[in-house]
Amino acid sequence: MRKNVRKLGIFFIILTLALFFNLSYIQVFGQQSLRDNQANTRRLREEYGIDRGRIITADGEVAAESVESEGALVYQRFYPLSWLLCHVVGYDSPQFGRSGLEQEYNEYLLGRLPSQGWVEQLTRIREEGFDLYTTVDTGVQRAAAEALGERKGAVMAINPKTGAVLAMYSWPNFDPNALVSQETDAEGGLVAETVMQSYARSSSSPLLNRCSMGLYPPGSSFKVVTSSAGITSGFPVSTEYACPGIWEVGGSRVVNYGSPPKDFGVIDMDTALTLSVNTYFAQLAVDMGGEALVGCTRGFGVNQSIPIDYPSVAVSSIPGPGEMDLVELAWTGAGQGQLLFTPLQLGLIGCGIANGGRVMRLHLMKDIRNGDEILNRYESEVWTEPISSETASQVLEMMKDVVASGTGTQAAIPGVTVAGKTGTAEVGEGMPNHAWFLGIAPAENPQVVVAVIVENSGGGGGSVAAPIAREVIEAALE
Amino acid sequence: MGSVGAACGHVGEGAFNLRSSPRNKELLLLLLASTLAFVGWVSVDLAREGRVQAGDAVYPAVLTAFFIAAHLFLRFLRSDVDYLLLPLTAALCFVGITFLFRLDRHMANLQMIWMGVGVAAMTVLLAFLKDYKILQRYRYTLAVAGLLLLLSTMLPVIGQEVNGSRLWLVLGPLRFQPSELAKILLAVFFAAYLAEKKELLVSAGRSFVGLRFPRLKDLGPLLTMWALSLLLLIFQKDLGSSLLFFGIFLAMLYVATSRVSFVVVGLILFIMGAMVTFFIFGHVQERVTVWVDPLNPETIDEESYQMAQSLFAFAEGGLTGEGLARGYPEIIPFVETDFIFAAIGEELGLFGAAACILLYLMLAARGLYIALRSRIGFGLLLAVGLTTIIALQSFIIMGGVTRLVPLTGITLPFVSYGGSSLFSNFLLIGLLLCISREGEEVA
Repeated sequence: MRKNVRKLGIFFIILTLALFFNLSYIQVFGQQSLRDNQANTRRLREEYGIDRGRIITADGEVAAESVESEGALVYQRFYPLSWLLCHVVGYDSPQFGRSGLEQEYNEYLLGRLPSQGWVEQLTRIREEGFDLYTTVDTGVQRAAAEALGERKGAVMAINPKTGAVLAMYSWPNFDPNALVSQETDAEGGLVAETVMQSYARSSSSPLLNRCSMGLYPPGSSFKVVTSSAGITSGFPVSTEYACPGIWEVGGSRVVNYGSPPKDFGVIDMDTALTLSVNTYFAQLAVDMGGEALVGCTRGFGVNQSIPIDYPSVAVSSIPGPGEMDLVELAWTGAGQGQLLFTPLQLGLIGCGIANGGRVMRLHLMKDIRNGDEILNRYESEVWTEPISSETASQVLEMMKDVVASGTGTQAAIPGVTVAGKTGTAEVGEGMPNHAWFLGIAPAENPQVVVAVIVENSGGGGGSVAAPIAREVIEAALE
Repeated sequence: MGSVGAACGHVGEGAFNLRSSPRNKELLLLLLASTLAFVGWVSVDLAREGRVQAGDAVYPAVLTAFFIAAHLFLRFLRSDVDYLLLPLTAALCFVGITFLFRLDRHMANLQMIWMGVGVAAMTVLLAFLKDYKILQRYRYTLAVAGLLLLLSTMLPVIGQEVNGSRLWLVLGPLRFQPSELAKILLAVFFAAYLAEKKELLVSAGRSFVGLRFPRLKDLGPLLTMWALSLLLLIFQKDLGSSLLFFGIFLAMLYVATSRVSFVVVGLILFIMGAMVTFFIFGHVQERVTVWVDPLNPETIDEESYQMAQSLFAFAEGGLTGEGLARGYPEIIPFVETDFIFAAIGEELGLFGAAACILLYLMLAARGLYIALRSRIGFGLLLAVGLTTIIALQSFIIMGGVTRLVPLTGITLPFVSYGGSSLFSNFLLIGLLLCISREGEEVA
């Protein structure tokens, strides 16, 4: 009998091992698939049981806050500024996930980051998140919204010295409160589901932040890059070219605006930029070569992913020097090649020119607070330095003339020296042009860079986009 | 013993010799185990309120007092019993009370009362049952009492059906689950019966495929037990108890007779019975389909909801767990009773759950050790039976909530909420302690 008792003991050990291996499988190896299971409501219960931190603008307005939910979960989001900051702040929905700052700073808003010592973690009551203070200012944002109005387009305003984003406005936009609503209809279906479908299906893409995700040909606004690249590779501002209305190159031709195409005679770079002369920049691009032009453009962040604390940013692009023939290169120099830029990218270029050649890292977070205690503060840092400060100041000088006496006079503000560059991008046969404007003010000591696009406006950058930039600059300098 | 005592004479002599006295080891281990509940109290309070509520110390403090009282009783009146059983039992109780305090305070209060009653019942048993061998004499009386208890739930008025199983006796405000007590009475009967009849059972039989099969008339007890298990299953819809009774019987039969053929025949019979009930009863089919695919989207919000939520809880816990009162075990229906192991897995992780499994293994190992040291067949078989109750019951429910085996609703000994279960399991430990005395005498 005693031998059998030992065998029974071995049997118990086998049962124990079976339990243990099965448990290891569930808790460690199969953990992820169970956690991700649709029917597992733990994540939602946990996250929507937390009094998520507020998002507060630079001027102290509450852009997002937690309120008691009307649905099954404890909390839900409320956005007092609604559509005004919808793309910046994004939404936080148990059904559709998160976007914008709600996504980027989720762990902070939930109070999980910055990670704290184990004593704090042990004693902290878990249902509170931290507040996010953003650099976006509702004054500048409102000015952008009012100036753009109901025109498809986007406006970005950035402080070039710090990289702080002051405004990021895109139209059409959406109502985030309708998306996070937990209201149900008569059949028990979620009302927000219908809202989401109508947004997602809409041909005008209201959920898309055109500032960071909209890719457009930059048109003549790109000439500031061509100028920068030219000066850097040994073509000073005084470089003169004869600029006929039509310039023959590589079996094709580059033409100026006007009908018939306007002949500007022999002019230097300043005049060429002020009047946006295609044939000047075509010759400059061909003379400096593809390597120099593409190299400088890349330096400003094109073809690269841009570091910014915002989740959805498209990569702007320029073809490689080997992919362009002479005609292509010439047209690219004038801003009409195979270029695709986001308004954010154009803003970054403006920042480099405005800040002595140093592009600061862009950011939307100012600091993160627990009540009054600052837990995390954004420290400004240089991201990249594509051009020298001499080059930057020379380009900036020329851009002053654009607003003073060139194509961008509608951006002028009495008492403030505004520098800028217009752009009128051709979209294709039969489609109205996109209007661009890149503005920097005050030119002596730049405080703000504004990039504006109005899609298919039909008008030029000078007449359509420059006045919008002026309003935004005025608001930013207040 | 004397020489060790002399070596550390300043510590004390005799009963208070720290190094060698089993009772001192017991006290030390009890205090060590009680830290589980004290740490549990502090961490639950910190997670809930961010500070420690002194008043909540009543749970660990009172429970520790119960066990210290039991320890003092043993120290002065039964100093020769095993010293590991009480600390292991206490450790499980401390885990249980911590989780009930975290899950439902009202249940924790009731559980405290029941633990007091259980400890008292255990000491009373030890005080009156000086020699457990007299139980042999009353084997048939105990067997009849056990069967009556099992069948009592079929009586009108006092027998009641709860959650689909007819397991409860209700007398006014008191509810009692008689099968919990019946399993101990039947184990005593099996032990006495097998100790007496084992020679008869193994004497004859035919050989087939290397196994010696018993004669049909020797299969009598096995068939009787099988029939009883099936009756339980059919009339009380109690899958867990049915499996447990049959398992205990098979384990004891094997230890008594050394005949693997009994186990084989027994298992075949059980599988046959299970298959028949599978085709006849909807609730058995449901359990099996839930077991096969608990994450099926069609049933996950209905039949398999509880099972799926249990698995989610374990997955949430991962290696180290969410921390006490930082998970969501209350999502799982019946988490305080059948599914308390899922709460342990979620909040203490694989480490905590594995430690819990190891506590049961240690308890089982100690039980078998007591069996091995018993001089007589009855003592050995009874210790084996009682140990198998704890081992098998904890395996069936821990395996059930982790989907290792189909789920059957039984309690996790000493941890789950439930008065009858606690009361009976404390009696079980008391009996094991009684058996361990005899071993100590010989040694």
